[in-house]
Amino acid sequence: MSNTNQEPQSELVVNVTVNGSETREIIPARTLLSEYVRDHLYLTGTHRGCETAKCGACTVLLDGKAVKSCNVLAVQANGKNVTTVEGLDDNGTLSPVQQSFWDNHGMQCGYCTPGFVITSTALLNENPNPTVDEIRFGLAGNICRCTGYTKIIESVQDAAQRINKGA
Amino acid sequence: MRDFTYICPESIDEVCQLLSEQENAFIIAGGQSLLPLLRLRAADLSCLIDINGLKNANYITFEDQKVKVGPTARHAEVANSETVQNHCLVLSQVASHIGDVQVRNRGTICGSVANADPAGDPPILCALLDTEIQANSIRGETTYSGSDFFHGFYATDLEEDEFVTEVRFPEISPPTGVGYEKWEPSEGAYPVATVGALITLEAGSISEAKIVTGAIEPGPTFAEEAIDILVGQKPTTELITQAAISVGENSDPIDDAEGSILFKQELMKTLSKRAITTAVTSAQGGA
Amino acid sequence: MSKTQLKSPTQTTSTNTVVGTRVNTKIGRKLVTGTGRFLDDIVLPGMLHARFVRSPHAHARILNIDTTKAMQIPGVELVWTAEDIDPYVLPFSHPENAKHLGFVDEEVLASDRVRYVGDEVAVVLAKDRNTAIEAADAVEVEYEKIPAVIDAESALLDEATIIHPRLSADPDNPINGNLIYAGKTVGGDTKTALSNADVIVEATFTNNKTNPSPLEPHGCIADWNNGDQKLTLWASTQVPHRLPELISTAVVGLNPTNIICKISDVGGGFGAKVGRYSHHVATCVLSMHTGKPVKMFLDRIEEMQAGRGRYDETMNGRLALSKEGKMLALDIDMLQNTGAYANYGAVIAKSSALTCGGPYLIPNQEIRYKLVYTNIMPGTAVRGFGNPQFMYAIEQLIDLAAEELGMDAFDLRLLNVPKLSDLPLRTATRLKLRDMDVYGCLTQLRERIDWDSNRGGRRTKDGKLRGVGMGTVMQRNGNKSAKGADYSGAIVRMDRFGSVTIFSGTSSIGTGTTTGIVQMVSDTLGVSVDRVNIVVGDTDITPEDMGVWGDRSSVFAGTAATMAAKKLREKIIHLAAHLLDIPESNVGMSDDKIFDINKPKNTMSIEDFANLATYGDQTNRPLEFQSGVSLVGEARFETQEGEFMDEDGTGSVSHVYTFSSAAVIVDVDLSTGEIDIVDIAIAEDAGTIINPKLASGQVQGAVIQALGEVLLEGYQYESDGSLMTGTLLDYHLPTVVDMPIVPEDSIIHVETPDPTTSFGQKGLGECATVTIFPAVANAVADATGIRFPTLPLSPSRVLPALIKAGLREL
Repeated sequence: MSNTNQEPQSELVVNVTVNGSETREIIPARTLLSEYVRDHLYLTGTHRGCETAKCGACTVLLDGKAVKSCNVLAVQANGKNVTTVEGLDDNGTLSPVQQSFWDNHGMQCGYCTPGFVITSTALLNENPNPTVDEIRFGLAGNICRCTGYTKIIESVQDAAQRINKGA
Repeated sequence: MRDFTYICPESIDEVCQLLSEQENAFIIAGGQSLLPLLRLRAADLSCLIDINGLKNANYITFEDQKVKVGPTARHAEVANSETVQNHCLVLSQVASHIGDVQVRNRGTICGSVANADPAGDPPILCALLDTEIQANSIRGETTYSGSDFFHGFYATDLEEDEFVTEVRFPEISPPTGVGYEKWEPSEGAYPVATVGALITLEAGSISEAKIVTGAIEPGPTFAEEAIDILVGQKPTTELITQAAISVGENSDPIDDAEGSILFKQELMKTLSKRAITTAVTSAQGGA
Repeated sequence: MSKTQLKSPTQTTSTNTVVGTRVNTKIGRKLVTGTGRFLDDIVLPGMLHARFVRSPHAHARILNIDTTKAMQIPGVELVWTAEDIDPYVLPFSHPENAKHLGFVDEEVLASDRVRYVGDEVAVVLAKDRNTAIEAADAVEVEYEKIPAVIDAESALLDEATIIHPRLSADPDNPINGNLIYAGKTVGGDTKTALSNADVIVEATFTNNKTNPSPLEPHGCIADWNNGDQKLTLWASTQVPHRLPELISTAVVGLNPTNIICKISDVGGGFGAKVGRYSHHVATCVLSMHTGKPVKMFLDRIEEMQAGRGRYDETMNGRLALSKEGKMLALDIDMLQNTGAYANYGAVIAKSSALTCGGPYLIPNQEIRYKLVYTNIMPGTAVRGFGNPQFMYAIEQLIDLAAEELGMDAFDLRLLNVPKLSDLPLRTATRLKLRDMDVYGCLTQLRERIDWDSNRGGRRTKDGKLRGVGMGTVMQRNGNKSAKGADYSGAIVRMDRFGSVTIFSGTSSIGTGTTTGIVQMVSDTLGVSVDRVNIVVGDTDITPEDMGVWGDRSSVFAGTAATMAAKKLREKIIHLAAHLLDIPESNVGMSDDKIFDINKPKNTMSIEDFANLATYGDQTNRPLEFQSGVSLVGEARFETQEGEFMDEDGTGSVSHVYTFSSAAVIVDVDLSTGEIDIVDIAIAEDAGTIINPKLASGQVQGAVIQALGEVLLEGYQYESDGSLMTGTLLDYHLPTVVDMPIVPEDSIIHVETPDPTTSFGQKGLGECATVTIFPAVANAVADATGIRFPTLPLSPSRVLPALIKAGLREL
């Protein structure tokens, strides 16, 4: 966003395209992107887990790139596209990544799951045939306390196969 | 998080103007270090100047034998840049292992240099490669030398009203080679010990050597004794081991939750041996 | 197990078609779409946000609290200190402390002194979370620091500052100085056995203080309705039916029956969500006071300071054996660093002392334990419930004994465990061991990890030292002694469309139990899993239940739901026999159909049946159904196996025990001290596996949770009690890069069905969390010859030890 020749503002108008829909809100400058999607748009699939940008439960796509939405200001998403976990399915049909996480039990309590699903989606967009080590490296910014990760890795491998078959 | 004001200017001049006018103003680029501090209420600021709106700021180019990295170029972009891979491979390698993928998608090299976190990788690399660090203020443009820009915990030569607008990395190719090693207690955690080594060979002997340690001390630190051990000698395993031991023994870590002084010094020896070995191999034209 | 006809009243007579299969978790679709409803996702009209002011000091007197600045912040509703809240609250502790030890030691807000970094000092209520945080920061507290003590041994010294002086001075409780309680568990005559032994090995081990760190922090919303005088509590809890009871003991004038507990989706528990915390009590009181809904959702910093975790305990142990290798006596002195408040300290010590003999038939056991107040974060229940600490020590003692005897450590173990034909039996601490194939598990474990070619340590091609080690556990399934009873209730209902709903009082925290329960009910009624839904938690809807902890939920809630489904099935068959005009014994139910087992064409769909039961001709029903058909079955399953613990600390407190074992191969890097996990094998007898996919997920998760604790994690305090590991930046939870892959085929399920549970199932979620602790330690010792007295086995400990042993390489 640009507000050239203006004074710094404590409240700002932001326009963010979230899951394909344009949103417009007046927000305090300090509003985090995670607060924007959760508290302003009620998209509560983006979870808060750690306060220090470590756990990755709040990961969203910002112009297609995985970012931790607790570590980006909402105003920094002004004019950009944000995809949250709620934006991945196609009118109720789960995305290949979502379906694979479910089928392979790549989740238990589900609190970290949206973050993993989003990060995995970005990973497979950039690298459709990742090796196990590439999957691990790509998911290092997300913490899961339940699964021990093996079934998450298997979910991503399975998702890659589904996507490649579909293509 | 406490309240603050926010502005997102389009030009470097506007940023400079704001920096000179606003009380207690901070620059935000990637924000990957700053936002956690604000959220923990460990940093207090009145005005946030977002430089992500700067025009023509997100660039990585190769000119005048230098890789030039613009103020909003992200770690991930630097890591994946062919320009960087062709001319300064170590920069690409280092950038590809900063934090985690989400951090690399936001964080910037220039921001990391300005922030000067003792555990951050870009400052260590800048000291090792003696990169040119360009900063701007209403008083104009200044170029700092990476070798003596950093002065301990989050301290640099930057003036309060200055911000980093470009970092220029030298081209690295045989007979010069670089090795870089760090050890993180868990993946993506802040490194506990980091070391970079630069070696230039001439007729099979080491004509120039630089070793910079980081994370273990408040800022990038040159390992002078080890450098003296290496220069003028043939790079044998024994010599490299001797230099590596010297790096460890002369490092000055603190005892903290990550380990004792002994542990960190020993770790530094291992990392130094690996880094110097890699630097020698790449100076010889090896991978 | 499938197609086995079982006899017991708790067991089903149906044919298994979905039990034993890899059904997808029932909650998966909402979790992958982000449509789960976790605590922080719930927003109520007019809801206020509460936040604690927490102590920055480990030990200090509170001299003055100035709330003026905080109150001036727009949007702040109130700021309360102990003085303000005290008329509405009572001090509390774990109920067993009050009942058996005669004391309560926790206050919602500290009245005169703080006892650890994170102790609650004041509470702020504001219109939103950011304002509450800002206001909490603005509360000015004047402290006078008191010397802090952070380790149990120092806390017992005469000169140590007494942390609870008032309780220490009270003669009606066992607290003396900082010693909270000293107790023992005695089976047999250890003293005599020790004096007659050929070999005695002795060693001391201390585990690290850890935080299980469920990714969803603690939180709750209290909503007091002044009209009907009821309080609705939404909580991220493992024990919806227990929590109201626990809260009511701490809130003046609030009866448990006036609290309706509802649960959100719960983002992990691992034991840390079985208790009642100050935030539960404070939100209830504040909602009652303001008449508005009050939410408190802790952040990760609060979780690290005050979320509570595993106790660090020092075990000084002796194992006595005959020269042939028969274990004769186990003698342990345990010192628990209990922290600032007693909480779960005593019950964990007692419970794990009881079961720590594991599968080993050691005729004489004496475990003496001391609980000690210190100025660190209190502990709580954590996956394994004290067993990781004990088994970490005991399994290492066994390895040391094998070394001393010149025996293979695996052979030594096999010599001391029961064979199937030895069962049932009672151990020295009177645990009833039955229906478990310990020997079979161990034999398969040995083969799967290739023990015999890996044992003894060797150098790998890349210069690392390799070794193999193992560990075991006898893990409780529930605990009658802990709560005064152990039971679960269930209601199973079929509606007029033929859909089935299970009402269970358990909680869904990710363990997969709810899906398992659905599978059991599905098979009992012969309907597909898609037709079956489960409602858990809400105390105004679901029957009473002790909750999800202690590997009990599949056993108790699963059996109760199956029993309830059987009662429903009997009704269905009674009516269906009439409708199909056949004897009841000929009615079959499967594949969503009801049919004549002799003439399968004489059939009706479950929908048609349900429709007929509701709208069909009343006169065409058995007489007793003519006034209406209620397609509901309900049951309660209460253990008849579990016993109360005796004065000597013995007794078979659990319904059943799951035997589990683990073996691990490690490589130790001599240049960094890093430990790589090269291979893992798990062999356990959890009875019938209801869902192999979800069960293996539990085991895989348990393994990695333990590896995090063994290799990476650990609280560290400065000597003044300041917390050095207060965020996830310095407390290292394992990432996917740090951890090995644990493929399903490394998990061996030896399925000896339990005859007392509905499908022969036992619990399994906790076991591998325990066994990995000693397995890794023993493997590292096999590789390097080094035993580490403390955890974690991080390079910061291993590398210096390698140097000392002359093994370090550059």
